[in-house]
Amino acid sequence: MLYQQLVDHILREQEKFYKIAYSYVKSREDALDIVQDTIEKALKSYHKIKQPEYLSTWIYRVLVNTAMNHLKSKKNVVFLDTSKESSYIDQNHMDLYDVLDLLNPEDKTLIILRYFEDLKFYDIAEIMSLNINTLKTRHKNILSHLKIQLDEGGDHASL
Amino acid sequence: MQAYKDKYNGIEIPKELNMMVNERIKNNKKKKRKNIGWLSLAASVCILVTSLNVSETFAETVTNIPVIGQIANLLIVRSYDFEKEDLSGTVNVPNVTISDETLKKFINDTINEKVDNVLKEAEERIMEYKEAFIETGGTEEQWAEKNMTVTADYEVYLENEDFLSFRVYTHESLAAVYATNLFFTLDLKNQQLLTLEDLIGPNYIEIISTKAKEMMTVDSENYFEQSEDWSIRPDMNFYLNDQGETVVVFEKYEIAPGAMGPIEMIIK
Repeated sequence: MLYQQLVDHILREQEKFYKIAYSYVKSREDALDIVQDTIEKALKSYHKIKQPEYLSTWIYRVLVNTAMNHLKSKKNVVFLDTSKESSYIDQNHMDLYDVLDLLNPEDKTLIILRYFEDLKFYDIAEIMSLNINTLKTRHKNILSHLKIQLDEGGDHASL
Repeated sequence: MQAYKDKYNGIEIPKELNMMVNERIKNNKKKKRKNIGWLSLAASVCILVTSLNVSETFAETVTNIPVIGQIANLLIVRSYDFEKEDLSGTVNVPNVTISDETLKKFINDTINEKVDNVLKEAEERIMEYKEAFIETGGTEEQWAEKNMTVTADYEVYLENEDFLSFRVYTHESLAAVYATNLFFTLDLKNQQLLTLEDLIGPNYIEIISTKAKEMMTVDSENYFEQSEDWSIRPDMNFYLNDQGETVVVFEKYEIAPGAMGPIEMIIK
């Protein structure tokens, strides 16, 4: 029964999964690979879900982990960590979506889930295995960090 | 923020997505049934042998007693699960038991070396990844949640008096790109490994290439476009299916987007 629920959920949410995956890798092939791996893993280990109502959160978690693993397997990716190097910002079309790409994957996850998927902090904390207060602090830091980036970029400043 | 969200929502969904998702779900059901079949078969002919060489890299960490399941008389399978701090795995490595010693040694050495290598490299990769993960702000607790796994297993396509055709494969949970495959098709009467040339004839490259081109033209949306003089790799993978038909296997990304996985084509 849970299996059928999972299959229905995957079929219903597949486009959402793809968009999230795509935001990380910015490549159609890689995003499809990630969704594919996610489905495979989910179908293989869905019995680990203890309460069916967590199914949605759980599969987000599988997806996010798969995407991050994928990113980290590509060694040429450089993330903007806490550094404020303005060399990144000089380019003309730097908006939040692009600045997001410079965040480390964990911070990016937080922003995507919070603002693009409209999830609650409570669920994001669950997905990212973080304490909710840690998550909120982190959220605040990312936002102020992004603001600095955007201000220096000069274009879009309102968050 | 709304503008960025619109941009996010505007990400174009490729049309293969739905096809791939359905395919995955369907395949999973198929695989499940098959596994149950193998399990019961293995259980009925299972014998315990503990003296066989278990991969040295992992021997010390093996949690289960190695179980040697003898499936029919042609394959002996070295099976164990292991669980280390940062990596767990399921290993089922078949070795052939045929009378030609040279061929037997060649096949088994190839399989064992490959699997041992994959296990060793998987561990190295995972340690590297762990380092990167911790360096970029991940905690040990988050790491522990990740549950990295490596799998080595096999699939028998055809097994009868005359032929044995099987595949040994490995994959890692870290990324799909680290998957590996070894295909073997044996002529048991003559005790030799078969090639595509043996099965299809001296002009097999031309025959398979023509057929593949046809397939790609008919269904051109799903395949990469190839130039006029494109032809198959002479050493491409193949196996014999349970009907005894030759099935050639194009690797993932070789002729189609990765989402389509490896492409199989029957040559009549």
